[in-house]
Amino acid sequence: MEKRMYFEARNLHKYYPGVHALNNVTIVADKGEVLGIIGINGAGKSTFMNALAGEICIDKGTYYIDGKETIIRNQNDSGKCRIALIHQEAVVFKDMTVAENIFIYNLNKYTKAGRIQYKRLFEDASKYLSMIGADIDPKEIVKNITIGEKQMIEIARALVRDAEIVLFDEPTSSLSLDEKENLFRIIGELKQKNKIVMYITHFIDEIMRICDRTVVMRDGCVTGEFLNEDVTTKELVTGIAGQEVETIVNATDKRDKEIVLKVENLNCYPVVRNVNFAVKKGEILGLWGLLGSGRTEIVRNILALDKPDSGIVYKRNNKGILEKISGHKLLEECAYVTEDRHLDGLFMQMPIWKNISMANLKKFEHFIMDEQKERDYALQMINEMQIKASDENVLVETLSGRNQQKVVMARSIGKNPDIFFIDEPTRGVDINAKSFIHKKIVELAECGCAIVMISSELEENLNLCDRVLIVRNGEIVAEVAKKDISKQKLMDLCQGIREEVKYE
Amino acid sequence: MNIKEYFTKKEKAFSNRKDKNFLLTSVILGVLFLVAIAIAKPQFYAFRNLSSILIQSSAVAIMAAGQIYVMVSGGIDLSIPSVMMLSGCIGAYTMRETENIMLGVLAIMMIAILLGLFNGFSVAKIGINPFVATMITMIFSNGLSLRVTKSTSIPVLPKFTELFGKYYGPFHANIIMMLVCLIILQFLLTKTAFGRSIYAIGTNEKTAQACGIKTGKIKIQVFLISGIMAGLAAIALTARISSSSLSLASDGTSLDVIAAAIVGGASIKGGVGTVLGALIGAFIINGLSNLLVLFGIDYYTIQIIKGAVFIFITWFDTIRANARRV
Repeated sequence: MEKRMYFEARNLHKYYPGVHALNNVTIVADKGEVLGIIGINGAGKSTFMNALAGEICIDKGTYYIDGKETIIRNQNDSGKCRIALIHQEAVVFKDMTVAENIFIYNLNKYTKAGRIQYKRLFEDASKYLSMIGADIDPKEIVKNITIGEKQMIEIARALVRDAEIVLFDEPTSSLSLDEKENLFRIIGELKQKNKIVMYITHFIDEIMRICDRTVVMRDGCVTGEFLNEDVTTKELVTGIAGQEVETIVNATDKRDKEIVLKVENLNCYPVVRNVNFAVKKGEILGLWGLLGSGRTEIVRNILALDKPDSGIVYKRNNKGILEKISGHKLLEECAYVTEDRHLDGLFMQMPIWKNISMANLKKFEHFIMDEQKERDYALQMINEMQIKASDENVLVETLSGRNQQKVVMARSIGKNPDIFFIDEPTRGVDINAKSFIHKKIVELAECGCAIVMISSELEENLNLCDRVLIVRNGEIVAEVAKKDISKQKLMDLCQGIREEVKYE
Repeated sequence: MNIKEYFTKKEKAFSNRKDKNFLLTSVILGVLFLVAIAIAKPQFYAFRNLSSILIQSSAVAIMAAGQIYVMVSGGIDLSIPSVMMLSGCIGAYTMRETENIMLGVLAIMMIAILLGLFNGFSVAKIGINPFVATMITMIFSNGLSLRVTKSTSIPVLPKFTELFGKYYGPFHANIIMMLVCLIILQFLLTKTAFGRSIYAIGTNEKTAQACGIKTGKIKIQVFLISGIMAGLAAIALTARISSSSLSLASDGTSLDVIAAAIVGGASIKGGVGTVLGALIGAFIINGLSNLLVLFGIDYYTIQIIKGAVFIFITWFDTIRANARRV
């Protein structure tokens, strides 16, 4: 009989409407091991983590912990199995103190006659904090500390619960370089303490650096498993992508095109500070920054979806003159693809055709809504965007992620505007759909549309953008022209390691 | 066929079958119920009884039509019956003082429109939760009605009753008014860009905003419509009973209006519902009361039975909606 690992998850299945999110996933890990789980967005790695953490319940499959068959249906079960999840965005109570947050599961142990014994609580909290080398005052209110420090709270919380299995879900996506180093050190210590660490990311260099073994996931399946000492970065990349994919690169020169949109002095304290930029016809302009840097808020303020404190937006009118335009008007005239299609991108309970025409209702209203025209138009867009659906009546919520994203894109393209704001064009879609969407974006730019694109993926910025503006703390701190764009430079700039000339 | 498609297909087939079963069951239950009544109380189907149910439900139906607009947009309007009562009382008061029907009608509509706009502003511009905002309006209207009427009944002018409360041919004026409202509102809701925007807001307000729909403006318009409906219901009701008093809106009426909308298929969460459904809901509610009275059941027991039936209907509908979704 083969040797049992401490943790085994065997043949897990999870179905979402239209998606087989986990397909026969088997992942095992032993104590003292750092296991990397890598894959593109939507590969199923977060689903796996959430299942372990008890935030979702799998449909089929078994867990074995310490050789015993275990059921994980909810967070309680997961806690009993001593599994702790460090979320991508720390789950904290922001109006409570650091100490209360750390002991949130065990507060009753610090309660005497119905009152919390704060002195003991604070003492113990600083003990745990110093254990992970975090210099945080346990009496501080959580909303006043940084994102990295919030993460430390979650890690401390895992220690308090004496977790044997610590899951990290893309922990570095919003950390500064120092914080990242500190995190890696802590992971090293956890390994020494003989814990299991599972580390989700889509950064290969992090995997190569801290993990002992790597599991590659794609489309809900485990597609590869490597010992880190005998794998090269190249092999991992092929494993993640699954196949050779056409990389779409935007290559045209836009130096002497006219400006179509200009933003002056946009402020919305404290998330957007003194933002100035201009976009030319046919140009793809990237806004690059860490999560929470204010990149999405800049666009929302331009479009008056948030209320800016100050700022003027100019748009080129038919006569070719830059004219002041209100946010509402601009929103009507341009296309806006939002960051999160579940939150504010789609009408999940509506059919495809209603979703596609929604940004453009006036075009279809001839005293009454011309439903036939709407349906014909939707069918045309379904064809053009290669959306996989039997007809236009399919509810959007039953589509898979990539097709949902294509519906969002179809709605914007159908509006036929000359300015696009696209926030995360390919979030959670597979690599083929990604390349398809990239092609569409480049096509739009070639037709003369100006495109403002926000993307967390470096490759997207590298391949598509004519220019990248670096956003940090709500400010545009630097501008990088196409010829100078490089991975390292973008990473350094957004974390403030390198300073560049300010954009005029 | 790969495994993904297989499961999607299987899921779909399952949900459709379940949905069909539910529909079939509800139709069979409904027919059985109606047949049972025909045997037990044939007088329920007498033309006069049915026509009186229609007339009695018209005011609730008109208000429920307004409620549907608010509910489809994802809100709720608790104040409709109170606004109806207040505008009815002030209208009757105006008529008594001025002896002028036009001024009375004008007063009724003005009050209703103003309070509707007030609700709309509180919700859309200031950002108060619709439940709270309309509850405030409800309390305010109830109080003011008490002040205006001093707990007495104010008779309306006979000419007013004659105009809005008599039969035109075989149809009572209330029924005509209800049908006109039904047709116009149903048309607006299902056939125009305005109506589509309301569904959009109820389904996902943030998406609607990002699509460039002016959510604030439309929410105000939606509350305005529910205000107008309250005014029209006030005209219908005061004309029918030829006086205005606090009894126009008993504490049950407010809930009747919401119940009518929910029984008619609207959801508290917004995004679904039709005006036609609200009307059917209003008929069911009034028909049920009427039937129970025919059986000689007392008022309090009727309330209990009504509650039980609504629980059953809404549970049934929720289970069905969940089955459809899967």
